[in-house]
Amino acid sequence: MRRRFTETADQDRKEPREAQRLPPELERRIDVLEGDAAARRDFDPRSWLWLILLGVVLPVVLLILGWSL
Amino acid sequence: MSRQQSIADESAWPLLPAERNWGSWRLAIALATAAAATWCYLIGEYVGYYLGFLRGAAALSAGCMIGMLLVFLAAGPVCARYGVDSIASTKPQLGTRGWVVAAVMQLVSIIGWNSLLLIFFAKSATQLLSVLGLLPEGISGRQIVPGATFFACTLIYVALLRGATGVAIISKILVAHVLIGLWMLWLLLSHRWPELAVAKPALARPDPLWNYTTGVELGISATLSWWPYVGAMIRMAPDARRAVLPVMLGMGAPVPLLSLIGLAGVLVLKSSDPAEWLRAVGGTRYAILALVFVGAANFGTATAGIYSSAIGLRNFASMERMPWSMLLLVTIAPVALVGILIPELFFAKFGTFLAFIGVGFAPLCGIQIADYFVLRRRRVSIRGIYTPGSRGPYAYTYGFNPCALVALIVGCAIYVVLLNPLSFDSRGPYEYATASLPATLGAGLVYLVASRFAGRAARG
Repeated sequence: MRRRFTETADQDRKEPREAQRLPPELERRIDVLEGDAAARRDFDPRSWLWLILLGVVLPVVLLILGWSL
Repeated sequence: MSRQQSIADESAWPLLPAERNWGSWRLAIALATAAAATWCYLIGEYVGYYLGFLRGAAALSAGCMIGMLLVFLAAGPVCARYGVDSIASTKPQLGTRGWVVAAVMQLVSIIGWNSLLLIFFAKSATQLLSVLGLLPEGISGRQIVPGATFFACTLIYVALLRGATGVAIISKILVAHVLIGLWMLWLLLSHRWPELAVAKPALARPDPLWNYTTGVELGISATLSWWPYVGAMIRMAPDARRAVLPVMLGMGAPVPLLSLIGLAGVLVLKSSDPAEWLRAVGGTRYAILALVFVGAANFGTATAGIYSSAIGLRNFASMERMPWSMLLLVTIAPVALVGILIPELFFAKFGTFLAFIGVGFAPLCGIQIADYFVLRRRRVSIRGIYTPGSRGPYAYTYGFNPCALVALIVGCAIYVVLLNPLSFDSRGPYEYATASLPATLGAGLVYLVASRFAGRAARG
């Protein structure tokens, strides 16, 4: 039952496909995406740098500046 | 439009790499057009009740960037990796039926926001007719607003018949309104800076920290409610990395900038609506420009909103195969009905509606972030997202994940305990932490603990 809560992609692929009855076009899309290397990546180090700069550092600086006014 | 492009634009199925052809600029423009609308004035107006201009600008900008980060970390990775919308991105957490909770939140949120925008659009159009002397005698604005709302809905319907391509075309045309908005801000600052610098907020409380935190909170909660838009737009981008700057700068930055119009307006002219104060500052010509700006801003945002909502509805099995034109009608109809039948009543009750919408998205973001980055360690099954019923990996218990639902309830409770969204009565540690951030963090932690506990219990 643990798999119900913390299933992973590797385990997911073991599901019997014939039982899932997806439309053929959707099935094709999923197959393509499962084999697409780009779909396995999200943020690279540069992305994280921008996210931290714009979403954390900038707000902190703004808050300090604003409070000091 | 080719069949492939049509599927890409009009379905909630995952998009293939070749179909995700929005570059960084195109995405940034679409997001900026979606974010910059009349609600910016309202956001600025509320901040202006508690804070002066400079401190308000800092708090609001910080809040918006924090909120944008949360939204992007929540929905962004899955939406950008697999080309799915925000609703589909909740299936790993909420379950194959539980995602309906997020869908209802999205639908109510978008209907509410877009009803507001289109009513504003209609009011601006009516004012414009009046200023230009084109309003027939004996006909009041109240009579024109329903017709103008219907007209706006029709225009949006026609534009969106082309799917996301329609959104992109509208965005290219209407993004100019962001620049006009910045010009209006400069106009106000240059004409009224001495007054603005010393203006006192009308409802400021004795505790300056509380006022400051409330400014941040308003920024966070406003951007959190754009969770549906982010997914629907960034699924058109090739990958997550190329979506980072468009989201953070294209959507996160214009909002506080344009909100400054409302902030400055309410502080020195007691009105956040530039259509009202620009006539006082610059005469009829400026008023006409402002009204055109307001109309364009709201029209662009409403177009993106209706599109996001329609894509979200595609996740329902009954609407999966519905013709796009029919789905658009189903999506626009509630917005049109509110705008045509009860525009004034909706305006009167809008604050209540908005307050409760904001409460739900903070916990949802917390659950998604915890699930993706901690629990699943960035591994999500695209097949599982689209496997219906009880056979898929995200079926949980009858299609619902109890851990996520409990975490969602706890997160909402944390928010409401810290800050009553109707009265703005607060309890510590609100002044130090806001309400959105503890709600996000609390929901995420409860989700993780509950999921781990459920896993161990199940293993025996």
